[in-house]
Amino acid sequence: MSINRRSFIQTAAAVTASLSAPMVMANGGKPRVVVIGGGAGGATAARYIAKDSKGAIDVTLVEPSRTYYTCFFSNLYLGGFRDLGSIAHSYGNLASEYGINVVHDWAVDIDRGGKTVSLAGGGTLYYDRLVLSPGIDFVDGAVEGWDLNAQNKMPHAYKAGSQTELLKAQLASMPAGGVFAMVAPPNPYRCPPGPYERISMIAHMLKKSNPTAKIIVADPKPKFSKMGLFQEGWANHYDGMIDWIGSEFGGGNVSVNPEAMTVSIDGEETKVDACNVIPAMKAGRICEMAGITDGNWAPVSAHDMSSKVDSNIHVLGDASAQGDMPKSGFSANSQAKVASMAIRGALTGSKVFPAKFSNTCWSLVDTNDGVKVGATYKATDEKIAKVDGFISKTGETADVRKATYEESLGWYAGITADMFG
Amino acid sequence: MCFRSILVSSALFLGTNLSADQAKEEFVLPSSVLEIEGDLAYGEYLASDCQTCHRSDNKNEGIPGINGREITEIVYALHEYKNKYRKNEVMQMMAGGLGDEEIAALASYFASLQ
Ligand SMILES: Cc1cc2nc3c(=O)[nH]c(=O)nc-3n(C[C@H](O)[C@H](O)[C@H](O)COP(=O)(O)OP(=O)(O)OC[C@H]3O[C@@H](n4cnc5c(N)ncnc54)[C@H](O)[C@@H]3O)c2cc1C
Repeated sequence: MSINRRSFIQTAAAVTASLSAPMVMANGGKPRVVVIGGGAGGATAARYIAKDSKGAIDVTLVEPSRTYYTCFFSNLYLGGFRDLGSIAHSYGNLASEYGINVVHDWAVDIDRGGKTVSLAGGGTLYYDRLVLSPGIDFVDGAVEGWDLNAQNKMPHAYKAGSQTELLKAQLASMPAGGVFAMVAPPNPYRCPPGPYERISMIAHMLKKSNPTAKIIVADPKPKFSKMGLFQEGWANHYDGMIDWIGSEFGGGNVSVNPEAMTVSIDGEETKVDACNVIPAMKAGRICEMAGITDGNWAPVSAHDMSSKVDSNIHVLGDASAQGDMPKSGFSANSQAKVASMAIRGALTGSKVFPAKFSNTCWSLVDTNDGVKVGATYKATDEKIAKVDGFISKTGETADVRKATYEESLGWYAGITADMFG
Repeated sequence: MCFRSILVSSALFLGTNLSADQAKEEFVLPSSVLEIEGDLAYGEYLASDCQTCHRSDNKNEGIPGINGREITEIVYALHEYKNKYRKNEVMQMMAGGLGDEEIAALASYFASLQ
């Protein structure tokens, strides 16, 4: 055995509650884990805890929707590369193949002292460890003139499903030569390249159906993820169609009027035919209700994704403030595996290894023109810290871009199988 | 740690510039690396990061399944990516962060799967 191996086993012993027999709970039964949110983080955590504990832990997954539409690839649905059914997933396998108790309900309260979760339907769930992966909600008043009442006229489409369908229908019914505007979000937000992949996909769709249409992006940021790659792609494929207005040009000084269908950017009002407002984001509200947020997000330890406020609660994915990882489905899935390992270690005494994380985000710019950015991360006492990374280069050959797109199809099939079994 | 020998390609004989693509290098790992016995439990944990893309049911929908491959094949593949001898930025990055022990653990685990 080499030094390396000895050192990780020592780390393991140090962070594992017990290396002996499974913990017997106060109620005399099996340890219980409740997972709130059946998305990229929650579904993965529920599946891995159930699978790897081989029945030693009772796992309950609370998720209001019976069908989960992935945000990932929802832009490809807008672009006409996927149909809606292909991004829809259900929880049947998690119940039948992994023995997870899937409860379709909302968690409405958490009693951290009593370790219980109250459900909208009236039930109460008891936990030894709680996993929160509720994704995002929007910051009230983030875009002047917009609130949830306006989401039918100006959809966010940043939680996939009916909102995405609505946006697509509105784009399709734009008059010839009409104007589409996007209000992009400030950092940090879910999926840094997401708005710009969306612009690419909308441009792709409009170029076919409505080639004289115009796209305006009002952005509160001076730059964005994969900016060089997107700008190269927009110039190559959609020349003259997209007007990106960054913060230097007043892109952050925005208000909307959903009734009149106007957008005002730096004092200049424009009549629009379709508008996608992506407001500033915060952790899913249940985190706030649990009292584990600091500002908009829930801070966690990088070693096991446990809340800095309550070590019996693990927060995954978009809702967590963890350090360097972008808020992505890939990140949430990666974090879920670290948390699952730590939770099993604490509850059943299984081995715990040092946390490792990774992320890659693929984006589609046009047909067979895929780009990607990725990084690996490690846990430090302060945060999840980036170790190494890469990004696609401008000027890559068509073959490379096509291979990148094909790889993204493999990733999508892989991660959804990893989440839902 | 890793030894590489350049197998001279015909391009060199013709006196043209030898590009990275034309060069045929042989990648050889020392037996001390090949003989490391992989820790299965550690491999199982590390593999979870791979299984986001390399599906546990071994299906290939754009990214190949790697269950049940020979240990040596996997050890070589990962060291080759790590040393940028094989192309693919995601794999170079993923393997780049792995030590010899971790590669051995992953290889043992994937080889044990069906
Ligand atoms: C347009 C777009 C494109 C994207 N593309 C990519 C991509 O290509 N690659 C990538 O990796 N990521 C991508 N993402 C990001 C990715 O979707 C998110 O980062 C990821 O879904 C986060 O996972 P999560 O578990 O934190 O939240 P989610 O996946 O959103 O899951 C949260 C779940 O919790 C449930 N929930 C919330 N509150 C409660 C409650 N109180 N009780 C019970 N359940 C609750 C919700 O119903 C939801 O199902 C994209 C996002 C968008 C919007």
